[in-house]
Amino acid sequence: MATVVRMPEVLANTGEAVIQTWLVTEGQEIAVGDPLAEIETEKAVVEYVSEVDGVVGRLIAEAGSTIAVGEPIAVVLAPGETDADIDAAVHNGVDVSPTPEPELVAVSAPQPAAAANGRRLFATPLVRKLARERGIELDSVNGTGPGGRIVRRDLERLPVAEPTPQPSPAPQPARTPAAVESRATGFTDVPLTPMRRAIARRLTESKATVPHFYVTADCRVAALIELRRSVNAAAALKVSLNDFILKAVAGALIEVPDANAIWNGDSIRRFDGVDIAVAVAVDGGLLTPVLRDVHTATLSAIAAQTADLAGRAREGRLQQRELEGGSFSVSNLGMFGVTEFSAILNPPQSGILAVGGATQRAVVVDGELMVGTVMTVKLSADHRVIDGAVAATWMAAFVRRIENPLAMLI
Amino acid sequence: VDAELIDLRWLDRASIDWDTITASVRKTNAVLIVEQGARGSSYGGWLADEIQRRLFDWLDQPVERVSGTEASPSISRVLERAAIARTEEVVAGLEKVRAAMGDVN
Repeated sequence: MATVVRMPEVLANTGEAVIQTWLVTEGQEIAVGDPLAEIETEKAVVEYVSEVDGVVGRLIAEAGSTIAVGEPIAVVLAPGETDADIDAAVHNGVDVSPTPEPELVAVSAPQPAAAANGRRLFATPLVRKLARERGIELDSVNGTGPGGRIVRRDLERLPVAEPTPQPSPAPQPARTPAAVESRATGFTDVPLTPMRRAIARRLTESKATVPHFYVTADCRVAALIELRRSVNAAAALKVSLNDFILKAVAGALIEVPDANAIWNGDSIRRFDGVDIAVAVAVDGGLLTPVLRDVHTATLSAIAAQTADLAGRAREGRLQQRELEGGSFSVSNLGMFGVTEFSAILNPPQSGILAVGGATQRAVVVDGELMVGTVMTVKLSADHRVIDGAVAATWMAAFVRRIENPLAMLI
Repeated sequence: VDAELIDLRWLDRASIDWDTITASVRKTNAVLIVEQGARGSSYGGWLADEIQRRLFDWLDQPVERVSGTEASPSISRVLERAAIARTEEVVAGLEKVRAAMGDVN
């Protein structure tokens, strides 16, 4: 029996994913465990392997297109089957995967045809099609066509509720002549990538639902920069300032365990070890791969792990598990000449440290004005988990490590 | 009037330019078939039938038609005028299509 392969839910709570590349071609023989395709979700690229033996009969989904979870993406044939079996499998929904969602969608689609009161709702075929595509309830639309019929203009008058990411085969050209003529400058609408959508959703959720507060400190880093220079003079793998910062963050989180915790709905989850997410700027967005067990790792191990994760993040080769977990993030914009900034928490983490660049500034020591190398850091904390005093204690522990860097090498 | 005018040029079933018709209907979502002669056994009836079948989901109103009325063109000047569609009928047809588009904002 031909098997319909459907888009898997690669990552919990994702509604859709993109086939990045097909790793098989039509007519190819495959066995259980053979990779079928690389599937790109919001953050990671995952290899999807076959669950059946057979011959690839048809690749339904095109590479690069966004497919809803549960939609058919390919058909695998058993030996001796033909194209007719493919069509039968696709149309009858004969399959082994337990996701009957597409049928449900298909059945519910024509429902808007009838108004809530049971009388027929008059709308043109085009309007019904557009309403289906955009998820508009026609009950609430006021028709201005003949006899109160709902026509296209009635839909165009509606505020753009939510743009559907669904790619339509022939997009309706935007036809609002008056508006176009009076607009002075042009613009380009760049379609959202899955990553951009994830960033928008997660950060909006974070800023709107997590009570942020901020604690700022200046660190004298002359000693740290000097230490790094002498370490790098001997080391094969160069250690960056950021690696020292990660080490200091981990040390401070161990010293102040109250800060090494996240909000868990009806409890506070306190971690035994320290996993830290590092913000990495990539083409078209950013990723936050997580470094494991930073509290026990040596500086060179941290440097190697960071370089590996950042490199693979830029290539889009991170696994989903490398993006999950951790109680804390570090975001460093120092290399862009930024002195200080405030970061938004990366849920469900409860802390993020925004690191500015080290610059020479006027400092006062024992009543005397002198020049010092100063780095400003700003901690954004989740007040549900971390109180002001805890954040201040943590910050003091962090600054003490940064200003006495030799202790970190022990 | 903001409309697209299509001169079909080929009228037989095999050669009719569905690409042009389809593109235009997808853009305007309305069709007005204009012909001079009587409505009864005319070409427009067949064309309207095909259009609604092929492009149903792209139509925002019924396929409208302009044609002559049921009169013999040979007996009198009045009847001849009634038998054929001219500018006035085309204008009336366009008005009807415009009205069926609903209110402008």
